[in-house]
Amino acid sequence: MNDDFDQRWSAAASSARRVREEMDELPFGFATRVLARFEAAPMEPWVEMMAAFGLRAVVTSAVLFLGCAALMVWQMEGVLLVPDLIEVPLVTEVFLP
Amino acid sequence: MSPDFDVQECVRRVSGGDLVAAGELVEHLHPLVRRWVRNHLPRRESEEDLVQEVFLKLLQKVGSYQERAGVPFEHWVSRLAVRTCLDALRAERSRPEWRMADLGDGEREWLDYLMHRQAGVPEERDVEAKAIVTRLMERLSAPDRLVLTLLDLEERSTLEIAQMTGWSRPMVKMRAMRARRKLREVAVQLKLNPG
Repeated sequence: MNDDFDQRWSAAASSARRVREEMDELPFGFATRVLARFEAAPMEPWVEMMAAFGLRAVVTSAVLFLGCAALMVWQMEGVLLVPDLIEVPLVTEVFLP
Repeated sequence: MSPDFDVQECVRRVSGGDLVAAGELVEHLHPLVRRWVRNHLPRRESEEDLVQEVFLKLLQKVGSYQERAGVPFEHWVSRLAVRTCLDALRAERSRPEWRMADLGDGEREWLDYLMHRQAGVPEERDVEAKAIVTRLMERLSAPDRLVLTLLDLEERSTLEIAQMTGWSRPMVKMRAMRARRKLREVAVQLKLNPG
């Protein structure tokens, strides 16, 4: 049934192809209008997309940077660079035996 | 289209920013682009607007065009035109509802023929064939309509369609098969909807 439909469709399409459409002349000022639109377009779409993503990338990087910095500061608070436990014995045991 | 027109040379000038060459290229390619757009035009889209859109994209992207031996520039343009039309077809929100009462006599004859109610091919009814073919295809989805237009109306090979659309060849064949099946369903519905 489908094959038969396909054959009949092919006949209809073949008949439709025989219709020759008249191609109109180039509309007056067409090329000028296209060029005007082209010149008015500030950038190619991909450049605009990159610009939009670039701005987002800057914001995201800044947020990540601040987050990392805050985490480091928070971690630094728990680490004693010069532990008291080292300094105290040195003082008491070396100089006051 | 002038046969002496050197397209590749013109394209090189356009890539270099020559606007005079860009105008010449638009004028040279206009008949081709217009024919492609007319074959894939969505119902409510203005033909000239869509042709302009194709040329605008062409001028914006011509810098990325790479010349290949044996492949004419027109192939690249046809791919661009088909993709632009496909996007416009996809943006089409509604599809028309047809009833039998909307069809002319010739269109009804073709529909009867498609639905096996008439044995012979309607004679000297090419314009009506075109009308019923267009009417039925308008009810299909954008990709289905595109594949049948390219394959059955423009008689392009599956390889060409694959290159134009970016689909694989098996996918082109599969889509065409499904599209024809849907087309049959559309024809049946139209027959059942006398209006």
